Amino acid sequence: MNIVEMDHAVRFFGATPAVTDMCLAVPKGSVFGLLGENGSGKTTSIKMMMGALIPQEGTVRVFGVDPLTLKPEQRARIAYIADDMGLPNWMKLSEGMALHRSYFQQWDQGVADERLERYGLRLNQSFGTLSKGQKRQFLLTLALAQQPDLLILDEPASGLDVSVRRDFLDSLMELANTREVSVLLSSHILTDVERVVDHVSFMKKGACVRQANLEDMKEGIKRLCFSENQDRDVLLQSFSILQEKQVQGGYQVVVEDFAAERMDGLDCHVEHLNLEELFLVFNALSDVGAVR
Amino acid sequence: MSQDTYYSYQNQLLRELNWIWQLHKVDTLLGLVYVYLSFFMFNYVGYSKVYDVVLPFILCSTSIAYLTYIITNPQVRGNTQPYYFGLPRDRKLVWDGLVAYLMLAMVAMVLVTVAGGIYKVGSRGITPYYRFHPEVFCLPLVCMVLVLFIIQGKRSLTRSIQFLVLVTLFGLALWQWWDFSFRDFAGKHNDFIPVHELAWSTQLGIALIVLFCCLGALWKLRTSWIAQEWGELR
Amino acid sequence: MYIKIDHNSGIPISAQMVDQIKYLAVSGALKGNDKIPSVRALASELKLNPTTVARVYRQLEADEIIYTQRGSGTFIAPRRSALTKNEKERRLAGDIRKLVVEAGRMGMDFDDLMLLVCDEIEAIRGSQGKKHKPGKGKREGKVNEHR
Repeated sequence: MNIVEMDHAVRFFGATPAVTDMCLAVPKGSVFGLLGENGSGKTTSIKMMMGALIPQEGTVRVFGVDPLTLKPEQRARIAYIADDMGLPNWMKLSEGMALHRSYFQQWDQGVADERLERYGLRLNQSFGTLSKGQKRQFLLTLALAQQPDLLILDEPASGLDVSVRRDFLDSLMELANTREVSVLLSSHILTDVERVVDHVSFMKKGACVRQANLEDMKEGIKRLCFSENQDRDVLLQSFSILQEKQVQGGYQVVVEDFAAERMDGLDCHVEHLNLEELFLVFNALSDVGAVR
Repeated sequence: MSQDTYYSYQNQLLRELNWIWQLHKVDTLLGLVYVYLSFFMFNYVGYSKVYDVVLPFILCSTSIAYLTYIITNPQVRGNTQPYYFGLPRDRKLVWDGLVAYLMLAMVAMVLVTVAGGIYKVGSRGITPYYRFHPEVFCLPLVCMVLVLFIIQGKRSLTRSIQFLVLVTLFGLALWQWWDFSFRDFAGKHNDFIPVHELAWSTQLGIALIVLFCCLGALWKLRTSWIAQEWGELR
Repeated sequence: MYIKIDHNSGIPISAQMVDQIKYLAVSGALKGNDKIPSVRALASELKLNPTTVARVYRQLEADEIIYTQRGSGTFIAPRRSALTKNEKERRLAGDIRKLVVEAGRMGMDFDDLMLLVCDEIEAIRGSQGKKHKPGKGKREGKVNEHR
């Protein structure tokens, strides 16, 4: 079952396209990475999931229904943290927490207390005195204490120090290991995300270029480096090719259906691609127009 | 508590009211103080006491307009709107809670205004002025509706505070012009109180017409705001 | 259980884990019927996504490296010799041929190759019975040369 689905969603701001044709399916229990460059439509997509923007065409489904029609009790199962989110600066953390808490029946104060202690946040501080990282940690505290089934994070790690970023993502993994929760996070910092996600969707110019299980993707997509020209024709016949590059003294070919047993008789090295390289491959691919 | 009662309409509305109160209590209380102080700020010695009583209403209306503006436009106070969106709230309830709170604040300010007037000119002395200007009771409501109407537009011009101030000033000028041009039977000679006071029925009529117009406009706004995805993040 | 994961190498995380757990089992760092952590315990220890670890366990189970007993946990399977000698040889023949071909392609002396294989066997033998940090596997090492 998919927790979040988008089917050919479209959203313009005036004449400016933000999301042109977005399809996405977040399986239940997965940690899903929505990846793309700045301006590729990640935030707009997330806002459509949250019901803060209404798609002009296509459909968006969260828990199987239109996010605009989610009842409060369903809505309470979603936790949302955005990059630029904050409480009023003058507000004390205790006040903020009390207000937030009143909206959630499932609230677990134990989780909140434990988090606050771990982050060293004091309840009599006001929100404005916190550093950027602490603000994010406080919002995460609120989000985790509400015991969500779906956690939506828009650029959760941007603008944070490495240690805070790592800690933030580790907290996510702890959550995924203690409760059945689905996480959707957007990011343009791929090395961070690579540690935590199991599904990824690459976005470019408002559309999804490729969505897949990351492990499957890493197993299937490899770069083959070979030197002799006659191999090229064999390769072209036996693999489907994503990218081809001529380098000095040979070729580099990225194939998407790699399998070790099909390499018999081919004289080449196999290189693995990490998330960043995969992203670059698909980013270049969509320029050519061969999408999905 | 079961889920149905926890998230019942009533409980959610109370949460909305509590939310707005927690966020805006300082502004609300300050508004009340300003309105009350205005009785002592303006003292038209040798002129007319009409404005001792009417001006606080104008100030009261300005306070309500400002409150309406900052409550419905949370971005003006830092980037808190995405946070509000993360909460399990219902669009219609957000609107209803908002208007309910503003109405409560408005009633409180009107009461303070009236109490201040009574303190200043006495309960007997106050009557003629209100019979002269029955519509001032509805002025805060008019301002509230006006602000809600203005900022529902998506254009940044109409959402700016400068535009709001401009419209308010224009409204006040219009009001004064109407007061002096069409009601010149009231003058300095009779302390700006017309000899022939309006009949009770006429006054009540005027007040009720303004009130119902405002309520109708509010209801129309409610449906159009919700239909127009009010609160949509940009 | 000591497992080191290189997140940015491009090798699927599950493949890295499968290789390392297999190595631990073969080298004797993990013995037959040793209990290993549950999916969630290992996932939180390594700060990994539980679905990835579940995938690893599924694969290891299919390869008969581990077995799960309902209610009591997951264990290392005792090394089986259910396969006949012929069958074992048949299964390895392909890999051995590939290794030899690759060495030949690089112009490596076959005696040196023999020495390398012997070294690797000695390393595993030597570590049997005591705790051992798994080194990088042969395939991985080869890959790293290219990057």
